[in-house]
Amino acid sequence: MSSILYIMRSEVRDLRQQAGLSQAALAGVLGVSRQTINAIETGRYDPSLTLAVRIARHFQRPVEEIFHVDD
Amino acid sequence: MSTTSQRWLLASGLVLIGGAFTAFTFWISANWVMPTLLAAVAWFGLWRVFRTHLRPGEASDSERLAAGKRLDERDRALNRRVFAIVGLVALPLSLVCSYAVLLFDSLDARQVVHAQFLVVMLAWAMAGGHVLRRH
Repeated sequence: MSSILYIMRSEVRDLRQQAGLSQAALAGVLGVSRQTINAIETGRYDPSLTLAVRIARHFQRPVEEIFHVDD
Repeated sequence: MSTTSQRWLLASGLVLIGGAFTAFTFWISANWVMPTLLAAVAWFGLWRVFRTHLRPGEASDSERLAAGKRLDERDRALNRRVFAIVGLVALPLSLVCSYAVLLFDSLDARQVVHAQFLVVMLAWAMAGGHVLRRH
């Protein structure tokens, strides 16, 4: 049986830069640490559903437009 | 004076009083060099814990992990992963060591416990490093 590895990518960095926000500013708005935003942008951390929805709401986009799961 | 300033003052005062008292106690004892060094390291660690709790936004991931300060869901996830790794190491080790002590009466239980303590402490530090690198 082969194992399947799912990798999640996100558009958070692009959207943040388009909005002209720093990592610290976005972290302040979402109530998380700057390191968490950095970890999400670099793909080291997959946010919880709650945080993903809050990020999507902040950028006024659907969640699936921001977060993609690749097989 | 703001609440944060009062907390800073209290934390600084506690660290300074504790450090001064420890240094004085060791100074009047016979062998004061090594204990003073150990106390300095301990108080420096305590100071970092205070600083992290008072200004968590300025602290790094490793400082928050070491101080047990959880700012958000990622900090909680990091903590859980570290405890999971330490548990995975400690539980089988404890079972094997306990059984070895029960089975082979001649083993020095004190040494076994010392070894367990060392392994768990090392596992804790290494798990923290590993989790911070990966996540």
